[in-house]
Amino acid sequence: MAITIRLATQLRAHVQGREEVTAVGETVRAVLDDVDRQYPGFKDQVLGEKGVKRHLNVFVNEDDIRFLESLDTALRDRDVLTIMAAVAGG
Amino acid sequence: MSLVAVLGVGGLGCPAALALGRAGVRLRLVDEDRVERSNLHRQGLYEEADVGRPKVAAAREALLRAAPGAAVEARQTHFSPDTMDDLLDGVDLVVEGTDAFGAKFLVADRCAARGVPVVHGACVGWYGTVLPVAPGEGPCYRCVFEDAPGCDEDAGTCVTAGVYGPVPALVGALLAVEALRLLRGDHGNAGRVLWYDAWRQVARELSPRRRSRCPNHQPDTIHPRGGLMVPAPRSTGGRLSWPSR
Ligand SMILES: [Zn+2]
Repeated sequence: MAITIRLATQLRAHVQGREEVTAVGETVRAVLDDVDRQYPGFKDQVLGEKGVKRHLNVFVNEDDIRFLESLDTALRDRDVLTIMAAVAGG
Repeated sequence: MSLVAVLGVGGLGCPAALALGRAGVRLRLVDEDRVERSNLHRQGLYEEADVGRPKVAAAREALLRAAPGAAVEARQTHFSPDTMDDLLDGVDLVVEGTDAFGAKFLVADRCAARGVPVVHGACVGWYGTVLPVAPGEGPCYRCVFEDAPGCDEDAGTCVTAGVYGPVPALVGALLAVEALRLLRGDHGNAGRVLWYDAWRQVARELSPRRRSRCPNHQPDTIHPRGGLMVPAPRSTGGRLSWPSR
């Protein structure tokens, strides 16, 4: 049950500079927990009191988890989780 | 001939304006900044001699050299709730390539309120995003991101994170592609986020959806940022039409 997590640039500093990490878990929440075990403090960067921070977006493959089951969205082997952040620049 | 406002004539706005100007689109360039030497590696309308000049003036001249006869307005001003309505007056589409979150949300909100399509672009490091928005259908920028990062949150801007010169050139050209598509009435990519990672050479599409509580799609409400919401004025039956100019 390997899930790939692709990270917004701003989050990479919290996973030793990696662009993507792998983790295991049956749900988005469980996968974020697993990433947090590997990289302590990671989850605090993604989640606030009310769930995913407002300037971040979590997608399972192409779909925004806010329109699925949010953090309880079930994952399948080899799903790709993308954490996208609002960026400004050019 | 369509009028496109290019808001932010930087790394994204320069290539977008060049492509659109050459395509025969009328342009309104808006930026309050002056050309800095640190801009030159990625803002292709400017050269060494332009350092210190207002970006919009230098960009206008470069565009007229590239596309003689192009119709290019230059407005050196900042984006604020007070200036935005004037900047959007008569505009058929907006290309938003600004480098500040406040401006991005302001543009998104005002374009939604006025029923103007907008293509949002952003670029940091090796990657960039493109989000075309057709008013009256699909998600807007605020549906996707809800709000700007707080000051305690690590926000990515090209000032803090840097950007590699060729990346905004690519992403800016994509902004022009999406602008031309929307101007043709083709909404096939509207509401879809293209995420382009130049380092890994991958592009992915993400499909956010319209958020039911997004203030930009609540009819007859006063917008929290001060604009009066007007429910998708030019939308009929899910199909948009643009005023012919
Ligand atoms: Zn919205």
